[in-house]
Amino acid sequence: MSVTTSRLTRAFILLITLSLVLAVAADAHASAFWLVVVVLAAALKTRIVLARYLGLDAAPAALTGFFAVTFLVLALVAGSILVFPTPQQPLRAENHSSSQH
Amino acid sequence: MNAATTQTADAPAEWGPLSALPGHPLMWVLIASELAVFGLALLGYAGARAQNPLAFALEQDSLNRLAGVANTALLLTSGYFAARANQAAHAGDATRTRLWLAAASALGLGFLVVKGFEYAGEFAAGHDIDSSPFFTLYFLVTGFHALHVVLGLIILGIVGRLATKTAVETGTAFWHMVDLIWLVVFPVFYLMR
Repeated sequence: MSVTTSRLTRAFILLITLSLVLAVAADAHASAFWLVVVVLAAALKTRIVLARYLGLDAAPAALTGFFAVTFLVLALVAGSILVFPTPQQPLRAENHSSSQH
Repeated sequence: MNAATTQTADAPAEWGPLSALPGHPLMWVLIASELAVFGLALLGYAGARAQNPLAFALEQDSLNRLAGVANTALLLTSGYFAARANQAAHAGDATRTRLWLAAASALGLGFLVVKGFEYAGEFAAGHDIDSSPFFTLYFLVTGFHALHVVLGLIILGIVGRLATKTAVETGTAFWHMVDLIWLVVFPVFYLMR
């Protein structure tokens, strides 16, 4: 196995591992901590795909630019979830309550 | 891979900084514009969710997360095979290039099959593109992404037929872009809450 193939295979194994981490995080109770874990794992995955799969490790400026865009999108969505968190009461109770008024 | 090996045969210097990128420079213009379109759609999702976080959370919980994880694994593995095809094309091995591309395409088809089952489950549960803002955005964004998977499969078929270095670099770059977009779409719709 050549050095390039070996790097590619390591990147693939890391991507699958991070996907498993994300799957576990998804089953965990929703919290700011897990939201950050999800964002960081997803961002790392996008960076690996950009650098190794797309070969942008040979073009660092492009790698930085494309990664910044994907990270910005993930960070803004996560930020909006932190600013507008999910209320804890169940929806049915809320509907029942509002229908009585 | 250095800049010299990634330049296209047709006047690479005319493309400026894009000449340093693998494959045809125009593919990178397409990749950047596709990322912008999906990025704006996901920011739109965040805006819509802010109007009713509870409804979005409940509908998000009804999604088939296992199908999403399976599709992530399928696309990542397919991307790995596409990258191996690119390596084979650089080595001038057309047979191996086509084999890797065929393997990548098979997993891409697998993605569409899983997505089909997932959509069927949502329709059976009474969810469709009109049922709520969450499902409107879910079906629009994931459906648009699935269309890109279909287009990517066609492109992989074409570049597999050519099996030249630049063609395979360009085609696999599109395929990796499809992969990349899913890596952002998946956590936003299925995981982030």
